[in-house]
Amino acid sequence: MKKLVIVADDFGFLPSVNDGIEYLFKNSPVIEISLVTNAKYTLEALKIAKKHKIQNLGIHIELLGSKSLGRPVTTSDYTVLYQEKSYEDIEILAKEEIKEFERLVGKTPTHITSHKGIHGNFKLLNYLINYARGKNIPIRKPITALNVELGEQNYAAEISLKRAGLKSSNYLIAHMLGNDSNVTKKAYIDDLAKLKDGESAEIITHPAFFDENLLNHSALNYLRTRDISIFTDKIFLNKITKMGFEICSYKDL
Amino acid sequence: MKNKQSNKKVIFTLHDFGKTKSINDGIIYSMEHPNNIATQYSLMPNGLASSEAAKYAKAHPEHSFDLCITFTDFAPLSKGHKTLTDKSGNFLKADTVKWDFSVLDKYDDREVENEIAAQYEWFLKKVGRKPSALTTQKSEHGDPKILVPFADLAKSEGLPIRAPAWEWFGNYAAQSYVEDLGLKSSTNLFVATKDWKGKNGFSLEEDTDNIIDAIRTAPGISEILALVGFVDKELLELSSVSWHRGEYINLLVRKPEILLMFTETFNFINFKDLK
Repeated sequence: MKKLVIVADDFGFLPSVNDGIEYLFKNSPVIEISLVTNAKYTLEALKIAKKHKIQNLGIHIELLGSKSLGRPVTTSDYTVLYQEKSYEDIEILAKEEIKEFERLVGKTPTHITSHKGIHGNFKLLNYLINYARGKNIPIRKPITALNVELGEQNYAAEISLKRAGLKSSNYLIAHMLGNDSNVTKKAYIDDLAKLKDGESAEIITHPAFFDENLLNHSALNYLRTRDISIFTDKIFLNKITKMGFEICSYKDL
Repeated sequence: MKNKQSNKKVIFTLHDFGKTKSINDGIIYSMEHPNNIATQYSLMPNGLASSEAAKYAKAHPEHSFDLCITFTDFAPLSKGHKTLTDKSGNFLKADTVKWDFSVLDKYDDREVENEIAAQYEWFLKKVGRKPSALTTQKSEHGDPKILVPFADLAKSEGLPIRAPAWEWFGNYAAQSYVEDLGLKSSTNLFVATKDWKGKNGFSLEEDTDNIIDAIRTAPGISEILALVGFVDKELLELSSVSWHRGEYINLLVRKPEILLMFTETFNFINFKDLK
């Protein structure tokens, strides 16, 4: 048996994202949702979570957000952040964010993810490992978008996670770009076909309805509706289960 | 003097100096050949011919020799370890076909630190000066278990390091860790071993344009790592990389114009230039 976790990122970011995730939650087996704690529409997202009794709610750590910057956060913002801030500074930021999550949600997150994979840097990862270890919280595979010139590999971070005994998937699959759903679905199937029995994967989704607000606030805009189309496609989802996958939650990894 | 086509800095390293006598002979032959373009030489402290290699390095301070710390080949130099070796007294073997280095999980942190110190002390004693940089034989310092004490030593001794790659590819967390410590390092590696081409290596002769294009667009300082040497029975029995070590030597002797393409395109430096 192979395991697959499907995660919807950015809950709380915008009303159209909240609506898209709510729709996906109701109409597909998406069962992990990653909440941005300090976003403008986090409280609205929490109302939705309460309404639908969403259990598997994780934290999508940002450290910096569009709310504090007044504009979308970029990769360069994080590069500068990590250059200028010490391990202790980053720990303070992360601690505040997690504390706020616990205060708002009333419990610890069911998983930890991060914007642009910023937890791929030891300044954040070391703190998260210490936090998660005590509570047995899974952490997303720390592949990062912070230095695409170095490529995707982030072995040092991955092995640190593994040695800490924390759950994480063997593979992290994301196809954020590409507006042809059929091509994207095929890419997911091809990626999933590489897994051997006993292995696990996480698929990152960014579901949202598309409106002017989303267009103005995110470089990833109309493609978010593509994720709604893909992950409500019962034929596509059946194909995945026929490949021997159990679509499950993070705690089941 | 002809202008370089690119301002990009490149280190060209001959690897495994000290591993066996035949490798030493091949590297020394290359070093002394008028067409040699290598600027850096990685010296292993615990190989079968490390003492002889160290002797050569001592007599030739004009060349740049780094200390090539080893954790998965031959035997440790430190004493009193309990976790580093198998029954034969050699380091636990990693699987370089699958690139499985899970043996490192078994190493005690203090023993790793002691072993790095022992290999460093060996270099100081045998070569009579500091190495120009710290590197590792299979880029084991891409693993945090090795990286942390390795980087600490580099920091305290004021030495640059080779990029902490993994499987010779980028390794963001490790690279940003060393940059945050203020260590000077190369940023990416190109392994010139023909048998690895298409995977994580290149053929210097067949992939010349590809390597040059890749280096042009790669960030920071690139390092071309060439496995070079003569081959004898001892090496054949020891290493899966054998005939491959002849490519560079063949180019030196018969096709130096291919090597010139690299030196005419880039600024060749060594690790001493990073200090």
